[in-house]
Amino acid sequence: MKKLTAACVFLAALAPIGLTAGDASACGMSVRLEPIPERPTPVQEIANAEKAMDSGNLLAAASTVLRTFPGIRGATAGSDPLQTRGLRVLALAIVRSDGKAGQASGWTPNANLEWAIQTMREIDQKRPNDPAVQADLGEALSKLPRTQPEAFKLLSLLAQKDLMGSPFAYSALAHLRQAKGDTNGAVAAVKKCEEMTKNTSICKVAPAKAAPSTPVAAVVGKVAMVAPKRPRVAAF
Amino acid sequence: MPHVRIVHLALALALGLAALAGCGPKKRPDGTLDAGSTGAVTAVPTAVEPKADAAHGKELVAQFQCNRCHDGLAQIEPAPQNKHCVHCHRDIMDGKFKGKPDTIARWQPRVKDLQDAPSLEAAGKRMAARWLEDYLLLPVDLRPGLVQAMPRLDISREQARDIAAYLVAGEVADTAPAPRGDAGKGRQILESKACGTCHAFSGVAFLGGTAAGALAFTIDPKELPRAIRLAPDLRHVRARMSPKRARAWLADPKAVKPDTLMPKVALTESEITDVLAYLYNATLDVPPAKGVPARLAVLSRRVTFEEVDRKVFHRTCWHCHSEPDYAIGDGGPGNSGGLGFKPRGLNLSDYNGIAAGFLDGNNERQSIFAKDKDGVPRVVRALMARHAEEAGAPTGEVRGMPLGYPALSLEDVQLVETWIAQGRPRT
Ligand code: HEC
Ligand code: HEC
Ligand code: HEC
Ligand code: HEC
Repeated sequence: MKKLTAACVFLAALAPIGLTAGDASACGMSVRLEPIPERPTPVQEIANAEKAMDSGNLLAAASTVLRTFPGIRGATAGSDPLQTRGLRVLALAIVRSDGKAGQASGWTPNANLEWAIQTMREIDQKRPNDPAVQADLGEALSKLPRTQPEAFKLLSLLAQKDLMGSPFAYSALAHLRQAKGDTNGAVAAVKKCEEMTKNTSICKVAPAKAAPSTPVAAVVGKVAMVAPKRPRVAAF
Repeated sequence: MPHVRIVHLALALALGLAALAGCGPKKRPDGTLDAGSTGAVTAVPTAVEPKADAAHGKELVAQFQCNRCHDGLAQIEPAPQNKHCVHCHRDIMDGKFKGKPDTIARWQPRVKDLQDAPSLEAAGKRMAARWLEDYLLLPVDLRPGLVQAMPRLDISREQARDIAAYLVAGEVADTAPAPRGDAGKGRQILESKACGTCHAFSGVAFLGGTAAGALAFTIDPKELPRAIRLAPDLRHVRARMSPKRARAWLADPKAVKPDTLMPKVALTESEITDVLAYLYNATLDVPPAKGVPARLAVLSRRVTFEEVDRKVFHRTCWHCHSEPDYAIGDGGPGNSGGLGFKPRGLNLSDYNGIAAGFLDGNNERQSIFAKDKDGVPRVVRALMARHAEEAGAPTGEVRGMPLGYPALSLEDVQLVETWIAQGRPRT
């Protein structure tokens, strides 16, 4: 199982998101195949990056992707499945670290976030009508005030149709709802988020600042209160 | 090929029984088609029926990817191993699949029952076009020893007719009536020649019980288990093939279909006539109606995604419903499309994908957890629909899942339903 021939017999990979056992993809049909430990192949590297991201190790996730595909910043989503996965991991690592991951090559957090949003848009275009991609896009869009209205629309629709399986996307929705003064909605989104992750700290939402119509007392105790660490949630 | 003469019928029978025992959840023949198609041999097409188009049938066979399971299709090569739903499993069983030995060993019990489908070589010399047409529209269980079933594809009557025309390849229906032999003697011959080593014959008294001293045929013992899995229930012979074709078959199976595993059984002309008399005229019991089981009540204990994923989604479903970017662009028939199905975009390989639902007929995303008017989540409907299909029910609004494979146990369905009822917790 050493050579990956052009005929593409098998590609060994580590666990993709959310799976415990080793996974692999055969061309055509997915099967589970443990990798034989060697120098990791790009497939294994990207799987590692996905794993790192899943366990919250965002900087490691980003650097693994950048090491595997040095030119990935300029890659086009959808042209190569593995690179597309790499793009997704890098973009999400950037989004979840508020622009900090992948800064090495002189990218400012803001430029990083803009790149991540653009990248998620491209992935979304290549995989239209896929709520899993849309949820990631919505999460990315929620990071910049300029794109928050779009994020709100997208995530609200997905939640309404019950098509969202990402705790981060629910967390983003909770923030957006909270910022709009929709406390009950925020509480509901937080609850969904908490059902989807062991690390419930990612679900916490700060109380709304400018929502006088919302009795703050109602928020306290329902929504976990934390210091307003998440930046730039605009009321719109 | 070394043909070893089998002297111990007991061994053969034991193998046969083992094969039968291994087919647990598989449905017994329900005879639905028997009634309608028994007359197929003698049916004369009515004048208004449009002419079947074999060339179009061939295109359809390519479109429906019948070659991912069936070999022996005229002018259509089997699918490559990495797409082939039977060859790949068989290679894993035969140790021909490259991979770590412990991985292969872990896979083998999972694919053991999924390594065979009948080859369709010389279909026209064996099966009547009309029977084929009906079968493609509503496949019945033909082989009690075979776990894998012919999937219910999304085929129209016209398409089925064209495919049947391609499969029979110009062989014309022959309508000669069943021969006038001695059915009682025929029955005795079936017993004494130990046809029941391989064949079931549902609807008549059990064939296999009679021990014959030495068998009237030879077969490589290594091939016997597969021959048993691939031997059809003889109940369907009268609807499937004309007596003339059955005669040719019994005289020399390999002369009809070179790749067949049925050995030549020593039979005289008049013995064949008697066997045919029994095959075609024996009174068949109506198969016992198989009811659709009721769902179990949801569990009170907590069910996590990890458990549902391990026992159901990542065990049985994920293979056909995977994430395209992890599978070189092909997410399997239930996601990217295949076997004639449009892409339904359903990724059952991870929590996010499962949440992301599927594309409905209008290309709109729907949750697989959406409840129908009876409050049953769509995915549970699909799992129960497979139970209904196994009981012979027509394909309903929701296709049975797993497509073409044994229905999940009621306990596994219960697990899925409980997890949904508990709010689908991920952790
Ligand atoms: C996923 C695998 C799969 C696909 C795809 C598939 N089949 Fe089958 N088919 C089977 C299996 C397994 C059987 C045996 C079922 C049984 O014996 O009960 C079967 C049985 C048959 C039979 C009866 C053959 C015999 O010797 O009894 C015919 C005819 C047939 N299939 C035609 C087709 C055609 C035509 C297509 C494409 C339109 C097709 N099949 C697609 C798996 C498949
Ligand atoms: C590249 C090889 C390969 C191909 C091609 C392949 N399979 Fe599999 N299949 C496997 C392996 C390996 C397993 C066992 C996986 C495991 O246990 O993790 C499996 C398992 C399965 C199972 C699960 C059985 C269970 O225990 O529930 C089903 C169903 C299945 N395959 C159907 C198909 C169908 C249908 C196709 C064609 C559309 C197909 N397979 C093509 C390798 C393959
Ligand atoms: C070693 C196993 C074996 C034995 C013994 C055996 N058969 Fe078969 N038979 C098969 C297999 C396998 C097939 C399916 C052939 C194929 O599709 O390639 C078959 C097919 C048939 C068919 C065609 C059925 C159909 O529906 O297409 C008839 C009829 C038949 N056998 C009758 C008999 C009779 C009668 C005997 C005893 C005299 C007998 N067989 C003994 C394995 C066996
Ligand atoms: C052999 C491949 C295969 C396997 C195995 C399989 N599926 Fe499917 N599935 C399909 C295909 C093909 C479709 C699209 C069917 C259609 O368009 O009618 C589908 C569609 C579905 C749908 C949408 C059906 C609807 O219209 O509501 C659900 C839900 C589903 N599958 C669930 C499952 C589950 C759960 C499992 C495992 C228990 C499973 N599938 C296993 C091939 C498969």
